[in-house]
Amino acid sequence: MTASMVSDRTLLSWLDADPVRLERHLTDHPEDTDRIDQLTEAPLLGERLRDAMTMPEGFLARLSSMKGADQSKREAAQVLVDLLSTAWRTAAVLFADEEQQ
Amino acid sequence: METDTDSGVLVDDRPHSAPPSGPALEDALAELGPSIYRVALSVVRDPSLAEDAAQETMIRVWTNIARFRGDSSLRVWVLRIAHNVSISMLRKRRDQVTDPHSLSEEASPSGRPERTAEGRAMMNELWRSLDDLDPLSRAVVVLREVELMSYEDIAEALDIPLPTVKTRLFRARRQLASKLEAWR
Repeated sequence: MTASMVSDRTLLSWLDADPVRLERHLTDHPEDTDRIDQLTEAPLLGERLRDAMTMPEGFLARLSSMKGADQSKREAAQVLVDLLSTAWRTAAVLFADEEQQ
Repeated sequence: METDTDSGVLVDDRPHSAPPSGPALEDALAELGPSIYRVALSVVRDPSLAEDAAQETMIRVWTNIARFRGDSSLRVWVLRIAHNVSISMLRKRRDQVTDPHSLSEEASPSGRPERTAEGRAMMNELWRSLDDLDPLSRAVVVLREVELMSYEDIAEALDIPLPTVKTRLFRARRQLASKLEAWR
């Protein structure tokens, strides 16, 4: 694919002043994406952002323990449901037996 | 595909392979933890609120994993949930906050101490520059520059058109580039 006839300067002016027009242009000329990608390249940005957005100490460990607590709650809830439904399940079995006889 | 308005989870009823579960899911989530946190932080800007959003994201992934159809990557699916959860938490926080300036006052760089005063100043400056971007642009720039995701994956994760991903990214870069230049 070849780039469109639009100059670098025009692409950047659309980016700053008329992004909707640039969106339309990139829809019609996706090949210009690489060009404007290079024009706006910021080599240190990813590294700086990664440094600025580091997870707090112990965050993953807290997530892990939270998951354990969540599972315990679910298991406890299941035990409660089982206990409360014992009578109903027993009756269901008994009545089913009676109907069969 | 549509997003369930209650859970913020992507619902996909197309044919699929079995979703990951058990240790495989745990491993995947442990690996995705930092990315989830960064997406949350990019939206809410407050480290403690970002932790809450990351935790809520994990819970929703665990409880909704059966809805994952494997049509996109697990990473895209999870980060989309993280973004939706974060937006939702940010809205709730804004509803609760009466003073609009108190939000920016709460925002600060992450917990890790920078090595030098210069490094700290640099981080603070970057943080202030990020504040000048809207939440969607911050998420786009983080997904592209830090998570190294493709434009297509970002569009899917944030549920926005592909050209919008590009213009948001390029504008954000231009806005942040001048600050970065000063640090070289």
